[in-house]
Amino acid sequence: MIIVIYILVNAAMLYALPKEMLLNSKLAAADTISYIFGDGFSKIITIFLMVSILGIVNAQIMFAPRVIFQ
Amino acid sequence: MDHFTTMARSGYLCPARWLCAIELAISMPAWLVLGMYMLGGLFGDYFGFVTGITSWLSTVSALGFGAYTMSEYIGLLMPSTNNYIQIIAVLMLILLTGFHWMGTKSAVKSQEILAVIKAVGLLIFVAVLLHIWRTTRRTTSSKYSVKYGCTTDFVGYNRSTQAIFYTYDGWHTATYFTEENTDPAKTLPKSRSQV
Repeated sequence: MIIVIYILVNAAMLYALPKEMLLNSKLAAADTISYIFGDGFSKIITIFLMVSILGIVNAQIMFAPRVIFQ
Repeated sequence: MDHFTTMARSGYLCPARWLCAIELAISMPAWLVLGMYMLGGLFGDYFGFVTGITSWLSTVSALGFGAYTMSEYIGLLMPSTNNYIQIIAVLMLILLTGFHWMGTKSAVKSQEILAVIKAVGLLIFVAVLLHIWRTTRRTTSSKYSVKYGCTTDFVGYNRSTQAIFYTYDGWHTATYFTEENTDPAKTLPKSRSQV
């Protein structure tokens, strides 16, 4: 399921965003939405990416102390 | 090999790799200690210590990088906070550390909620773009119809492959929690089916 989601996300961005924009993009997902719907919508993707990174940081805080403990 | 084939193959190989690590970790719950002990036994305590401290430093660096990136995103949303990115990153780490201090159960629950939000968000993202694709392909001059060629550049291919592998990375961190895994015969196949 995760493989399918990741591939679909890549396919969607490759299809929607022009190559030149994709090459110079720091946040491809936000730029894709911004390109299609306008700048206002890119904030939604940025917030979503923040939630995604929060998940990573949350997990890292959980396991980082275990390394030094062990 | 095109982008999608590489993405699909990596998607199979990376989970296969971390599943092997998790199975090994479940067989030997203290495998981190074992690895350091083995290195220490083979090359002396110094190498065992270096292995352990390097692992910890890389983990903490990644944690700092994540917090800083989140602060940058806050800066994108609220440009007035751009001068306080480092302070926001530190405050975020303090806040999350305090939350985790409350206990493992609430931390695990929060992680599950964040994972569901992430999966749903990605599916919505794909659905929106596929809807656009379905509506615009009927027209002959869609501004979204862009053709991408395959690159034969070796460096470019390696860079993109690294990014793809990094996309699937991180799942092996479940090995740090193997001592709490009371029923691996049930949980391992469950996790495999979700990938």
